[in-house]
Amino acid sequence: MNRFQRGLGWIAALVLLLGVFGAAAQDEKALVIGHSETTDSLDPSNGFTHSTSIVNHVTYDRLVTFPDEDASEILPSLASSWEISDDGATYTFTLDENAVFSNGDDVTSDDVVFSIQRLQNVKGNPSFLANHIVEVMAHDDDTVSITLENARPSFLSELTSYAFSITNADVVRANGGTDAMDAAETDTAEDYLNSNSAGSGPYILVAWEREVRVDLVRNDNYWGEQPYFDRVIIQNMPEAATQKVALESGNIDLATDLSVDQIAGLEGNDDIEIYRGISAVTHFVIMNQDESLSGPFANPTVQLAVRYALDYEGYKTLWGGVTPGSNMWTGLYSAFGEDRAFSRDLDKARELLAEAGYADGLDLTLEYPDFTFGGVNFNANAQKIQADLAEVGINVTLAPGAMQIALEKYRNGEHGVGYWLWGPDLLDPLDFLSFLPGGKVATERNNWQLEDVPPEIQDLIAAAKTTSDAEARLEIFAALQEFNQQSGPFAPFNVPEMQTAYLADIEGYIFHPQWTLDVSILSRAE
Amino acid sequence: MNFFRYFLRRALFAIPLLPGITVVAFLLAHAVPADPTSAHLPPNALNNKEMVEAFHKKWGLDKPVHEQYFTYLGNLLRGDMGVSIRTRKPVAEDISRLLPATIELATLGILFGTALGVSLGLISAVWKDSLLDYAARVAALIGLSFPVFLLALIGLELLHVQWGLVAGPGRLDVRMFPPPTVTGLFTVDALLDGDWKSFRNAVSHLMLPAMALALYISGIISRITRSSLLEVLNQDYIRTARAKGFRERYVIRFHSLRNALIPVVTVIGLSYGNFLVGSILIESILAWPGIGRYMFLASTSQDLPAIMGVCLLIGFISVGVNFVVDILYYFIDPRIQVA
Repeated sequence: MNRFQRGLGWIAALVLLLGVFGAAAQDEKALVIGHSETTDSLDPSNGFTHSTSIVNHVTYDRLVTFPDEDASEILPSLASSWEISDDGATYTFTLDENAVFSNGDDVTSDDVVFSIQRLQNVKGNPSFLANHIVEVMAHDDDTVSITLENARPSFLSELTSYAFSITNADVVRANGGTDAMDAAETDTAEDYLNSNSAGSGPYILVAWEREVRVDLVRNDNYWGEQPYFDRVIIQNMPEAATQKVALESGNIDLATDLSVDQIAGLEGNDDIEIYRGISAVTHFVIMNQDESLSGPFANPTVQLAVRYALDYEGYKTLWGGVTPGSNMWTGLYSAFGEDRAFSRDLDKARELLAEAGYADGLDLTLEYPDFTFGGVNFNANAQKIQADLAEVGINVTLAPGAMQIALEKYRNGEHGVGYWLWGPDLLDPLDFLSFLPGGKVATERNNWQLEDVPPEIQDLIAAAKTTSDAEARLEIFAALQEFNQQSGPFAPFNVPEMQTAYLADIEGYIFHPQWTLDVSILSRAE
Repeated sequence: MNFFRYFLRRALFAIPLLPGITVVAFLLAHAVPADPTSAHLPPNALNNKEMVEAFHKKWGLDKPVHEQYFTYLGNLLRGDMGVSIRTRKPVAEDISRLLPATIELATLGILFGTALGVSLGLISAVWKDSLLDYAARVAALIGLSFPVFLLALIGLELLHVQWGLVAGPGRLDVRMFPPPTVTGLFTVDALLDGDWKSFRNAVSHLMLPAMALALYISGIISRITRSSLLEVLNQDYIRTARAKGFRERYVIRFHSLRNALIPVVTVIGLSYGNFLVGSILIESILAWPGIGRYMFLASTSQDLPAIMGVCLLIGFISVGVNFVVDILYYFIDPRIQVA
């Protein structure tokens, strides 16, 4: 027994001793991110995960990019300018002559041709993004053109994806890479690119220890503005609860995967800053255009009345965020801003119902999934919709269903009136066409056919699919949003906020809908 | 029976188990009605026939199951465990990269657990029905009934965040670099490198997960020790020993404990085997990059080569641990030596 007690004593002493030693301070400015790693690969032509996006966003550049905070416009990156052919199918880019790779090599049109052809031919996870590309051609060192199967106005938005990262062709070739047709069998550069980067971004990948950590160091040859941190460590912490603890104890600077509950638990902690920004999902009520399923709610006047009856400010109080009057997510290029949002007008709603012949009220069954997404609870919102509509004489019965069953019904367009959410598949205004006749939500899920809308709207929808000119697109999409606000079968009511937490001395954090986190714009208060 | 014959006999029993494991694992992995293609290709690529075919061809999924099995077995005999679909690295390389972390944790966990469990069991049995016994039994019950992830989370919050006694998640502090790899065990490698700072840090990071595992396992060990020791203490030869006037301490140490240890060694061996093939929850919560999480991720993504690799590893470890336990019996139980 004595020996055992002595043993325990030793262990206790050892533990105490160890506790005294903290991590040694270092001169290097390092940023540590706690992140649940999902990386399949860090090779731009093979990786297609959230984690790949965070790393490759700063180790590589693309031809074009989005602003730091949203997807509201296309900005130059490696390409300083571009032209789109009249048929909308050929894009010609002029490369920025200052652009250099991290080893000092110039970024040339050959690198662009190599990178895009390699993406196509290795047949990796993201290769489908390049399916529409017919030809990539270098005209001279700084000019390169990309020809598509047909006009594709969303092409520039697609090019911002990390899959279209431009790699240094010489370096990748020297390490087994090829862009030949048989690259799926012969390319062997993935291993190299998993522990080294061959790009022109503000950081260089120096090590990736799978499921442990990623180490990035500053690219001293970076051709843009130098980032603040010398080193960025992305530490794998699979459990959000662990990330929370690590953040509280200051082991990490920023946690990427905290739940809304966990963030609520950090409230009031002076060492921690909580970021609240707009998420990329829209919650909306959908009213079936098939009268046999939705009854009076197929009537556009009743649909408009529903839009006037919802208490938009109330949803904002519940979940934060914005209340757009269109279905399009506000951060997207050409989307209506909050100034064009609907606001509640109960008199107007009652008037419209009377005009449609329902002055004495009407019944509605609201179908929705029993589900919580990003902390937003569908049941809570459904109850609020019930209360909102009761004020104008619409008597709502709630019909929650199991996710898979409700989803099946919704996807087949068999619901009457439902409540769902939408996250854009593509960060481009074209995504909005999902909510217009011919689109996924409008036609497949809501039986809204092209012949149901006036010919001039049909023409606008057709033009939207082929017009690449920025000014012209602005006009077309404004008209379509206006039409949907007044005559569409949808009542979008909330774009909730998303939350992240980081140490209070970290500055510059912004959530981006495409790459979620840009470590190169972060700094530490000194 | 002499030791050599005993050893050989045990070894011969172990050998046929391994090929059996490959067949069962292969059939089970293929019987699951899920397709690795949909787990590994992005949804948009699944509509693309060319990409799906390229994926099938690359991973040999276009061949019939028996052909896949014999290809696998043939490669295995040449020492090639295949390439993981998820990590795209050779499975053998993945396992050798992750196993040291698990070995380090499992070994310390089992040492702590044994020390704690055997001591508690001993106290309980010797002072049966006393206050000490009740206290020890309650402690064992807590270890047994608390889910291990809760132990880890509570430990993390109290020992690390509140009191700062031990280091947090991971094998080393984030801002430190691992010692040069020799064995893959950070503590050993740091010592070999003469790097005391890394060694202290690695030990401090080991404390929390090892203590969680130890608490968890000590419950079982102490109960087995207690019941086994009580049984032995009721035997006639113990009464005889006491009647001969030996001191109680001598009776327990030299007449009882060794005989009572046989079932305890079995439990410790099995637990060590379990720890070695991973403690998924502990590894996830404490961000411990070991084999448990690898196994979990492989099975949820239908990563067939990795699943096979891990199954083989589990089989190999179980067979190995049982073998070692059998050998230990030889030394603990004199009856085997004379049989």
